[in-house]
Amino acid sequence: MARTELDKTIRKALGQRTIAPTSDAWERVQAGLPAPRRMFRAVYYTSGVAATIAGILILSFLYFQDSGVGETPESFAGPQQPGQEARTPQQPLADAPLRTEEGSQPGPVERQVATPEPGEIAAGQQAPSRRGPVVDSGMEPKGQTEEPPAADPAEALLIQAKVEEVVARVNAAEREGGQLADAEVEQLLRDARQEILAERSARQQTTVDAMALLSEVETDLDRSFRDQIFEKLKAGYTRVRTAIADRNN
Amino acid sequence: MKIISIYSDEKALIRKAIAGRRDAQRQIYEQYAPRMLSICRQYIRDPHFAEDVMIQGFVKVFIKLDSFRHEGSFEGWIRRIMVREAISSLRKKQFVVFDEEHASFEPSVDPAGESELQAEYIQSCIDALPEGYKMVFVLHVVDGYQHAEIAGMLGISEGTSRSQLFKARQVLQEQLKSYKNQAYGTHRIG
Repeated sequence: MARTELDKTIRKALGQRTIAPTSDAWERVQAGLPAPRRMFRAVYYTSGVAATIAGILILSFLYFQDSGVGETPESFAGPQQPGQEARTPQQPLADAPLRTEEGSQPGPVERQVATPEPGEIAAGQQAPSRRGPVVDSGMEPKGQTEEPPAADPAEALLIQAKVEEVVARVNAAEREGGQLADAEVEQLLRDARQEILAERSARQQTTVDAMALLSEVETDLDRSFRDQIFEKLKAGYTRVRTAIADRNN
Repeated sequence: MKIISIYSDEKALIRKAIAGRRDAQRQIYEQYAPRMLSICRQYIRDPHFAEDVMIQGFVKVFIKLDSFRHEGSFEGWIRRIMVREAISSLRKKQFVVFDEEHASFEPSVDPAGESELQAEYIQSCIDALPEGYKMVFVLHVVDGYQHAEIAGMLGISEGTSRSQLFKARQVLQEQLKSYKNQAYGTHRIG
């Protein structure tokens, strides 16, 4: 009990006591502390602002430089005819804008069917007999005369070759079985146009165009499938005709 | 020393001090330094050395302030740091010697009127104790540590801690009793 009273007395006496430190004690505490973080934060803040501004300037420079690079190929794309629109490599060939004489009028347009000039026809060959106007439904592909003028001699030669090929086919067909139907002439022109476009695309593009490849493959598949159908029909017709002839005999 | 209260909320004050704000750190220092110097003085006889220990303790307080979880009193947290700093400093200087040879005494009669004793005289009596006695006595009686904690802090056994406390009490009772008798002969303390 006595010890408890002694403890209480001492605890009470010392527990309430305070001693004022010397005046320079705080400076000594301060000297032992690390530098205030606010200074570091200010340095980081300033550095961050400077880095952000530099980053924005660099990105802006790169952005405008890239924009200039993107426009450069068009300026070197060769002479462009008035009204001719630039076609991006990603644009499908079927959707490529074609120059028409009437501009960009929507819906069916009455126009002249492409026919070769008399001077372009080979000697001894006859020109196609139909030169009258036809109505283009708008879904039909454009004629060969709507192709933009060839920029290089290779393309001009290709077009010339295609024209001669079409004329030769028409003449040969007329020699064999008379006149061709409009749909057959249109089909010949469409095929020639597709081949010219594919050739041009292959020359202009250094990279592989997936749409061009797909279009080419579809054309080949369509042609082979059509040929197979014709062969089947022809075989069936021959078989029926032979059977009828045998029966009559 | 006048304490100017800039931050009324203790948590906000601690948060500012953690962020490195010198004004908040100084406010904490000025609020607790007199009390903490008194605590250091309980363990260390030399007042200059006690102040050095307090300064080192405050440096550790501000460095480790982000580890304070607000689970107890902030003053208690600072106080524990100060006590450990004082013990560590004394042990570094090899002031602490635990006297196992000291004979035990029967507890004497409780001197009346101890509550009237001045703190300075009590402090002088504690200062007169051997370092081992004094440390165990202050840790147990003034700061409220248990013998197991004291044994862990000082690297001694619990029995040694109890023995040192018993001896310290005997010596203090004798000193205070003689002081009381002396004081009644000259003047009354209080």
